[in-house]
This record gives sequence, structure tokens and C-alpha cells, in this order.
Amino acid sequence: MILITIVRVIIGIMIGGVAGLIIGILMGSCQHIKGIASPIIALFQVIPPVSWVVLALVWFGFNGKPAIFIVVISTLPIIAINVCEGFSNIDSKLLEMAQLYHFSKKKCLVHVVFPSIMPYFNSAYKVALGNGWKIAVMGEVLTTNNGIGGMIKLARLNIEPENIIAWSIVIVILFYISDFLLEKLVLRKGNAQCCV
Amino acid sequence: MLCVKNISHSFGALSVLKNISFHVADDEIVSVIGPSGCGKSTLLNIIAKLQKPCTGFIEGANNATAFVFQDDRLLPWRTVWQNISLVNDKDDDERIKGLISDVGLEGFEHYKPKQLSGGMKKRCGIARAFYYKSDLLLMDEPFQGLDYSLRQEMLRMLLRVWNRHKQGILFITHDIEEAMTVSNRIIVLSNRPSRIIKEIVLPSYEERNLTSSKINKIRQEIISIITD
Repeated sequence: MILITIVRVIIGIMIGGVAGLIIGILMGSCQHIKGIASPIIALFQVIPPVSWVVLALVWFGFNGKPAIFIVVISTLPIIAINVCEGFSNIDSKLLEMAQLYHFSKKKCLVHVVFPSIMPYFNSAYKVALGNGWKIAVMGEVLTTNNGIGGMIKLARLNIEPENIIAWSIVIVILFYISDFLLEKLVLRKGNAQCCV
Repeated sequence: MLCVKNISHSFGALSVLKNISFHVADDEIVSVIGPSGCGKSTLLNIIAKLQKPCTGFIEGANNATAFVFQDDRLLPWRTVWQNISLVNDKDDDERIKGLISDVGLEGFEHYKPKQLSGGMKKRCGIARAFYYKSDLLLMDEPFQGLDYSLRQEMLRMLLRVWNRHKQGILFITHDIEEAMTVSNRIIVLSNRPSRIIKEIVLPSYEERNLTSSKINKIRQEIISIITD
């Protein structure tokens, strides 16, 4: 049960993270795209996750995919907005240096742009991860009978508040572990490669 | 060789440069000196092709021009070695090692800029500029903000590196002593709109004594032009 939720959170966070990164970079590098994408991103932020769950149920059915879908929907704007913000805060003097020394586009992205937006991406990812656990379990409660959400749903039907509390503690522990792993293994490794 | 021919530039109604022409040979250091705000950095930006002049043209400065900035502009997430090596596509480890030694950064190759002092960052910027494959090196008041003794040390270091890796250098400064120490020739600009008032050829480095009467005369001449 725990593994099912973990897989859903990881898939949702990864899809939302990659999509948010790409959209954030496009928004940051082109004002026209930013103008078009900003209202759409705002929609993602404002529409309640419950509404997305109902829509996802219609689109995907009672099979756990809606839980992944709403994790993606909640992760994407957090990452996109922060990456876009990071993009607009890139030190223009470093970009000018890259231009004067004729850095190729790839070299400029790898050595100037990505390291500059990495701190924004990292903090956004940490926020999205905490959010992802909450949203994924909520999605499971509403759409499936498996995963941690399914267990909480069962506990609710059997009126077992102690089980609900126990599963909530499990979620907290999972968050601590995932946050630790993200910080120690993924983000710190990324930082060592490209950030101060 | 860099040839600047009849460059004029203005920002709207504000005329900044007026009919500037000079050249820099491949093995000489030419300083451009002038009062603050006279358009020295604008001239450098035009030569670096960051700005287009209103009239006139540049010859000889192909696309590869190295630059030493007022601030260090090092990538904070890269080491000294990486900051230097990044400017060329193919690494030449021996040359990088030599340049790091020439600028006195031996032992600091794997330090990041935040671990270096201001002077060390300048040294790294200079090593990077000399490593970049170019015929011309543009320096925009590179030692501004350093204290007197450090500036003297940096000037000596610059001349030492230049003697080993000769290339044309256009050195922008508002410090007469800097210009007198480092250059073969000095171009003196007037107040806005800037034009070349005087071009001074200095004695060779071997014969140059900064306290001699000849150099003092040149110094006084420049001061009188600038303060006029």
C-alpha cells in the first residue's frame, strides 16, 4: 500500500517537475510565451484540487491515475513560476561575459543559465514534494481503494480514527525520508555540480 | 591589428564620441585615458561589438576579442581552472597551468571565486582573457577599487603575463599612473563629446623611470589636458 502511494508521488512529481522546468524556461526566455502561459498557470493554481480530481475521474476512471494527475497539476505551477523567476534573475553581466567569449547556446545553458536557476528550482521542488504527498493521498481517498489514501478511506468507513492518525504519521515519515533523500542525494549532487 | 576609424556615437541628443580614430598593433598596450563620463566604456563596447556606432567602423578586431571587466564576472559555481578553461572549446592543460602560474594562482586551481580575494579574482579574470584565443584584449578599468600596493602588483603581473603571451591590449583607465606604467602609447580623450586630443608615445619599458623629469612632463601634460 505504501509503495503504491510512493510510486504515484514520484511519477507525479517527476512529470510535473520536468513539465514545470520546461515551461518555466520557455516563460523566462520569451516574454510572449510568458504572456500566454501565465494565465494558464494561474488557472492551475486557483482551481481547487478537488475539481481536478472530479475531472480526472471522468477522464481516467477509478484507477489511481487521477491521483498522479493532480500531483502533476499541483507541482507544475510551483516549479514553472519559480524557474521563470530564476530565469529573470540571471546575472546579466554573466550573460554578457558568455556573449563576449562566444559561448555556444549549449555551453551558456549548461554553465550560466541552469546553475543560475538551480536554487529556485531546488526550493520549488522541496515545496512541491510536501504538497505532492498531501495531494496524492487526497486523490487516493477520493478515487481508489489502494495506497495510503485507500487505507485512510477504509479507516473512515470503519470509524477507526487511530488508523487515520497512524497513516497520517506514516505520511509525515515518508515526507521526511523523501525530503532527506531529495536534499542529500539529488539536490546536493546538483548543487555540487553547478551551484555555489 | 585593431583599427578604429572615424567612430562617432551619441545617445539621442547627447553626443558622446566624435570622430575617434586610432590603431592598436598586435604586440602593444595602448591606454585610453580621459575624464570620468567621457565615453571610454562606450568606446570599448563599440570595439567589443556590444554596441553599434552611429558612424565609423572597426577593422581588424575579428569576432574573437578577450575582455577583462571592471568586475570579475567569474562563474561562481565553477573553479578557477574551469572558469579559465571554459572560454575555449578545446582544453590546453599546459597553457592553463602556465597562465595560472604566471598570474600567481598556483595552488588555487580548484578554489571557487567566493573563496578568493578581490585581487585573486582579478588574476583569474586576466588568466581567462589571455587563455582565450584572440588577437586583441580589451581591459575596462580592471584594477579599479584595488588599493595602491595591490594595483601596482597587478600592473607588474599584467606586464609579466603580457611579455610571455604578447597580444594587443586596449587598456581603458582614468588613472594616469596606471596608464604610464603599463602602456606603450597613451590616447587622451577630451570631455564629452570625446575626441582624441593627444596621442603620447612612452619610452620603452626598459628606459622608463616613472620619477624621471621626462615622464613627469608627460604626466603634467596629461593632467592639464584632462582638467581643462
